[in-house]
Amino acid sequence: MQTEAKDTYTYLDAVAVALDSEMERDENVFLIGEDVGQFGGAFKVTSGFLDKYGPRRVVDTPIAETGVTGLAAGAALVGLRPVVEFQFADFISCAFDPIVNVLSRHHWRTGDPMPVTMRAPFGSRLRAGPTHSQSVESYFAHVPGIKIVMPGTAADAAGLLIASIRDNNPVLFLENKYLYRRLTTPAPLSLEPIEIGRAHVVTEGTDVTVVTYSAGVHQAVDAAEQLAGDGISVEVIDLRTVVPMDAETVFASVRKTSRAVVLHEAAEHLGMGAEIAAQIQREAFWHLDQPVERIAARNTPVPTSPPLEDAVVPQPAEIVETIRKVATA
Amino acid sequence: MSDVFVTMPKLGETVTEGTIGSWLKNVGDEVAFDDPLFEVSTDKVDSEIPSPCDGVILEILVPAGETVPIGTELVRIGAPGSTPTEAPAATPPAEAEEPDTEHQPGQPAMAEGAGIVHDITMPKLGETVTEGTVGSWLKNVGDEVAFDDPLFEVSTDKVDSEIPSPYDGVILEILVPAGETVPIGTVVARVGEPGATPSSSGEVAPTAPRAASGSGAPTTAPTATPPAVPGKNYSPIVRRLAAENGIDLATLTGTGAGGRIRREDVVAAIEQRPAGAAPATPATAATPAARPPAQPAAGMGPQTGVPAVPGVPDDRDRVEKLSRMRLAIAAGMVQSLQIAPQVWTSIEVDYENVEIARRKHKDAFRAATGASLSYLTFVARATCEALLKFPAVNSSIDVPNQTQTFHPYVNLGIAVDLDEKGLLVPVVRDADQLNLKGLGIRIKGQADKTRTGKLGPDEFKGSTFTITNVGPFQSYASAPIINQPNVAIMCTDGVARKPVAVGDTIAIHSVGIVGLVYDHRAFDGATASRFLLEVRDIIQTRDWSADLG
Repeated sequence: MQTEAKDTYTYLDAVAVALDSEMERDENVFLIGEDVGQFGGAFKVTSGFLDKYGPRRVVDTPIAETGVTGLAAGAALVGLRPVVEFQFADFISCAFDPIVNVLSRHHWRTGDPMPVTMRAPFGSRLRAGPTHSQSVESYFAHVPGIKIVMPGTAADAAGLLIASIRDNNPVLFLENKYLYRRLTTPAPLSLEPIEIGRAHVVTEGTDVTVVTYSAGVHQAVDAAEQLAGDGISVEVIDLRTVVPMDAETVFASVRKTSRAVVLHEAAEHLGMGAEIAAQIQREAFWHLDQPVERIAARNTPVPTSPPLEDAVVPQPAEIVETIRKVATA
Repeated sequence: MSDVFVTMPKLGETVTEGTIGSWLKNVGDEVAFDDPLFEVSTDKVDSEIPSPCDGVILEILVPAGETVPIGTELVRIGAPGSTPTEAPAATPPAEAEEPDTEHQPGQPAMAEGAGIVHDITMPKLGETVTEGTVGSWLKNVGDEVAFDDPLFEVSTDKVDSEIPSPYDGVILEILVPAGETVPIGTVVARVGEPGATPSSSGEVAPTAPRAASGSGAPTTAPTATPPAVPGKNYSPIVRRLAAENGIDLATLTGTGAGGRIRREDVVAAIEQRPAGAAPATPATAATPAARPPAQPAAGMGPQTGVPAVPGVPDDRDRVEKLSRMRLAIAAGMVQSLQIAPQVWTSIEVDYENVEIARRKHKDAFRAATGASLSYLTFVARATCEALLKFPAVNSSIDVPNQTQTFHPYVNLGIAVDLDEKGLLVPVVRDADQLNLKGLGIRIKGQADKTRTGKLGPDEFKGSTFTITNVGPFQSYASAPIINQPNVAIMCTDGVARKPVAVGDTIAIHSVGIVGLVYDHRAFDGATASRFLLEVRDIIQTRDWSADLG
């Protein structure tokens, strides 16, 4: 299993440890999805879970996201706390109907809790092509009633997954698969839940605020270190959850720096950056010294070809130069 | 001012009467423009009615609770006690021609039978527009106008617009005649209520209640928003910090792109201010970044006064004093770039037609004139012709005096290199009157005399257009700087043998670029391109042998 005690935990380990600890803690928590059992999950997150918890709590399903998600909704109605795994976030569109028409609004129709956690690995930069590289947060951010959690570190992945499973609302938990094996956090791994809806100021700065989440946090921190060498002080905010969004932390930062850049790897058009920029200009207008800038993927499907993917997805040079321009122009 | 009567307003298209809900002012109260006077209820809406002027309530004519028809006089307002004859702030130029009866005491409040009289002011038709010209009046004094009917046309430096009437009524007065330019907010006409008659037909009303508007300037509601500065765009935080700290942004030098004033520039200005000058609100974001000292803004002084950007000294460097010519060239170049927005365009010319003539005539030409039959001669000849066809290219422009001078002759400046020691531009006067041969001789003559120092200072003056010929050095395409006071300079670049399509076959022709840098204040790209096309067509199609024969 991925959950044995280790010196360091990858992002992927952290997800597995959090799942394991919640399943041990609460027998109503169960896993359901394609290949989560015998195969151990598309990215081996649940390797060994079937042996430990048995087929009633680790449920392999056919390739039928609509049915799997609907089943999870029904299970939640009778008191269970299902954790649905989508092999890739790209395939979640098959489950659009149960998510939008059942999970998101059942509570608003009946008052019943709907504690379904949907885990989905998302994101680009793995040369996985147009149908295995999508960032799906904006589709669901537009639907009231779904929380959307997008951790950028291994420690946050553990604490936020635990909070998500314990939350009585449907939660879309988007794991950045580029980070799965590239990030580690030293032991011990905290299994305390992290409050959903709290941003984290990763680096403090005075010249420009970069608002980002998930893998963008690391790109922003790298850019901030490079720009610090040129005397530009960058504040990096990791939103951690995009719904609900900790807008107050963003506003407070922009009121200090008077400049903001939003960075994400989802497409720019109507991405989270649009919403964040709109809120900043409304709440911090008299503090702004520059228009809010967005760094995001081009408005095309993510290409398979490495040079083309690099041209579409934000790269370090673009990030550094955009932040520099906003900070100094 | 004379007394103003406020009448029951028309609060909807189909509303015929209104009820005074309550009086918000009493007799004797001072009121300011826009202060609520009373509440009105109609069958459609309830509204507070604001005062049309500053003044004192002299009389309330209709008590609360009464219902009266639209137009009924409800209250009489007199002048503010201290300044009964205050003149308007913005006086339209037409004012001087008006009968000086306006401020006579004891005049009635309104034009006779006019009811409420509305001032129509010059509108602000753009962020940075400060004045407007009345293009033409679309209504005359005495005309009935309906809400939204076009009243007059306005031209500003940005747009031309028809201005609609904001009221139903009758034109009582036209105060600014067509063609006059007046500041934004100037009262240009007055409109009375429907059915009103101007006091004297066709003449300006002598009893205009000028004080009804208080001032000619548009009245804006007080607001916490820091004021916009006309003609300058500042970011919100710059505007706010400047307003809170009493900083005059016009005195700051920006360190941002293009001299933009950044938050840091305002913060620095606040911190550098002498102690005790700071107002109550301190700056919120005090982050004086350590940045290099600001460069002086362009245009701050003569170009020679601009300090050099410091380089890195090296023992192997050699420092020389600049020659007078170098200094003069430097000053001229900087000045030209400062005053003229310069744009480069170019065209490719096929010199095959010229080659045919050169092959045939160059030896005889040299023997006869001592000059070589260069490409420049042909280009110069074609240019003189084209310039007469495109007068804007052969003009001078004086924006401060708002004039452009067209020259119906061509004094052709030819840039002459002095063995890399400098550059002079002798002038071939009346070049348009010379044929190909004469032009070749004069260009060579002026160039030779320039190089040997035999030309007087007057020979370098009076050019209307300049050609710089860097083609002999095989440049590909060049963008020179305009030789002031010209509005354009032509550059003839290198001519090389190249494959070109002739019909459906490929031939090897002599081909080169002819470029034009022009002053975009004087004319636009279409003119520049058509001019170059004309030059090209002359070069490519003229029977040059006939000229040389």
